Amino acid sequence: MMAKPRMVVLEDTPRLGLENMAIDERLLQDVATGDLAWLGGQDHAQCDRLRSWLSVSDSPLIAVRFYTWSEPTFSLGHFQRIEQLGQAEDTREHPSLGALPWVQRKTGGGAILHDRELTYSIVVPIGIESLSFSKGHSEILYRAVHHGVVEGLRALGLDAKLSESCTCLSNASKASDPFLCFHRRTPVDVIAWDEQGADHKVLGSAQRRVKTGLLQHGSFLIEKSRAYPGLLGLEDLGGSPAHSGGGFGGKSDWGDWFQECVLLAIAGLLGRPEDVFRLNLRERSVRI
Amino acid sequence: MILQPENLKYLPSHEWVYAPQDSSGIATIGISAFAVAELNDLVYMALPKVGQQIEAGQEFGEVESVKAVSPMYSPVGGQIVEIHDGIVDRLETLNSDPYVQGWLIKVKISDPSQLDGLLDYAAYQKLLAQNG
Repeated sequence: MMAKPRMVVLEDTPRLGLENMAIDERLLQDVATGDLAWLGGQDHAQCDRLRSWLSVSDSPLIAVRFYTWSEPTFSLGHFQRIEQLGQAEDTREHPSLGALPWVQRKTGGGAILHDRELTYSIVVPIGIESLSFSKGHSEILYRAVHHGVVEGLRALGLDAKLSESCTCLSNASKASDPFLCFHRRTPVDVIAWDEQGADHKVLGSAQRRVKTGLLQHGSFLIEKSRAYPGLLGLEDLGGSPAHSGGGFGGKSDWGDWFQECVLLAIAGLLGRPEDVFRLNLRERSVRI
Repeated sequence: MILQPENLKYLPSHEWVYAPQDSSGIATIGISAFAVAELNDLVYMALPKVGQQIEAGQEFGEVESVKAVSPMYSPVGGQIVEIHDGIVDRLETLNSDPYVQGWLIKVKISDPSQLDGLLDYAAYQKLLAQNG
């Protein structure tokens, strides 16, 4: 019987795209060995505290990171190419999007415009018993996090559910795939409705599996981006974290609210972690 | 010997290898029906180039199913001598026939004894049952 996992929760400062992706890739590289002392950055006291915490147990580590981006940036799915931006039906009429910076994700799926949204990453080492590790995605992790957010949105009075429908395109028709993740639907995407009864995808995630573990990225739309106003976020749908009135943590900030939803979902799936180390990277220079 | 699941060897990560006992020393590699079913809906695949050297257990390609990118590992080491032409544009072939029509690469094996360390069909079925 494997020991209950311990969890490192990282609350990060807005960063450039390359840096954001590099941190997640480093987490995926190191989470299985527990060699995460680099997260302490140049703060020697913090490094020592983290190193000490890491050394007291052999329990597997899970890293969960919450972050935003310092400028509107596209992250492209692993197999996407930036040239598709000018060809896909959903983006070709918006040539100004081509001026935005972009990065390539290690995870699959469609492109995300990181602007008025929150990004999370979960890195889980292989061997966590509750998760299936073989090929493909770990639907159980994907579904747990998304279900947790649906529950949270419902507590805010919003009409939300898992999509349970799919625009997953076969290989033969992938040329017509929407470029943007939020124009695609998979059964586990989170959708919410506007007052006119139209549904909008507000949370999508994707995964990368390696020999030693799994990385799950996700993006939660807060409000529409000026660069691409066609995608609505929670604020546009009338949502507000303050509407919880204390019933779901009483959060007044989407960031805090979202963190609580995701962490509760992980705890529900894997059991409450044996120990949690919270690290605020906002004023820290992390050497990746 | 003919190429059918019972005659293959496997990695626990669900790649198969067919190595006929002839003088060619060329092994055919693919992913198992279980892996294809679990991946569910294959959308993209990247394969290596002919001529590349690969070691046993090394990643030789990547496959994307619905939003998840997974590596594919080579059961044997050697030189890649053939890539299944066009298979990345016909991934549905793997759903219908992951063994004969859905092979991915062929490798000139550097050391045939590597095959001894792989799972045979019975052991692979046992692994699937344990994880199932």
